[in-house]
Amino acid sequence: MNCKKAQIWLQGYVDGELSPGRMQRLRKHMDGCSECRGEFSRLSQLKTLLAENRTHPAMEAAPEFFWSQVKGRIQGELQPRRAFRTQFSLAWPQVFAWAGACAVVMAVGAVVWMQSLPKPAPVAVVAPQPAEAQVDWIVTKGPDLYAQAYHSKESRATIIWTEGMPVISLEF
Amino acid sequence: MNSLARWVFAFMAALACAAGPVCGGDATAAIEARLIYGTNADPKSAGGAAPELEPRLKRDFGYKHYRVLGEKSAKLKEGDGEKLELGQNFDISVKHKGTKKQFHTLGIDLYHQGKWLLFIEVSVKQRSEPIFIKGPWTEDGLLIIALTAK
Repeated sequence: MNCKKAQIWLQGYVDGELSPGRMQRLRKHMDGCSECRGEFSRLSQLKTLLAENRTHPAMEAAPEFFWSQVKGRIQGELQPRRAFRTQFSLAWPQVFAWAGACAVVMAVGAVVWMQSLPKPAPVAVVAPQPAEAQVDWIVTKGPDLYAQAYHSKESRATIIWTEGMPVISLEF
Repeated sequence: MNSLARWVFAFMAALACAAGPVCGGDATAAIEARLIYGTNADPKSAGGAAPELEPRLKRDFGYKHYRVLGEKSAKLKEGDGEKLELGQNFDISVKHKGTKKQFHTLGIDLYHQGKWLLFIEVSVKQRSEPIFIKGPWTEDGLLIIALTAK
């Protein structure tokens, strides 16, 4: 194994991704090659540093990072639900307002409907009517003159109807 | 206090004025008698019109025209009597015979040429409906005696 091939396999070795046969051949090469041992040492330290610093959360939180965008979209999908809940909780005054408006409309409609119903005949306010004159007695001069009293419903007058009165000539 | 006394005096005066006619009406019977000529021929020269009675007369007697030939009125207290000359030799004698429950009882005699024709006794109230007595026939119509309590 030469150094060129060994340095290609070094990253896989550090990551534990090499097969056992390749790992054994690379160890034999590094036993006799100080340059490749030094490269292996640098890669191991770099991996250790990366593992200790844990830069992934900061990267994920960055807006340009893919997962940050995915997370943001997921949260964006969830946001309407939260907004819906918020609106629902704040919609009660509007519900009451709409209910009140509907009640007013129904009341106005009921009034209009009642106005269209046939109204009972108004009670006539009758002015005090003059009293009828009462005829208590009628006496005529004799049987040839007949008189009878009655009340006329048409004229509301009391009529004394006579028969047998003489025919006279008027003097003008 | 003076203001209150004035108001009380004004109220009492108003009450007295309002009650006056009623009390007076109870004591006195005012009666009006008219001799009316009903005919279909228009007798413009026969006498004055009777606009307030004409609609009633038309309903009851059917003639087209009504003229007042004579008119007399009297105010009678209880026990009083008065003779009213209506013209055309017609007279009526009215006597106030008494008052009962605001009704005045009147005895009325009707005369023609001094001869008694009939007697009626009526009870009338102030502003009572009129009384029409169908009188003698004439050549062109009818004479009617209208009695009205005023």
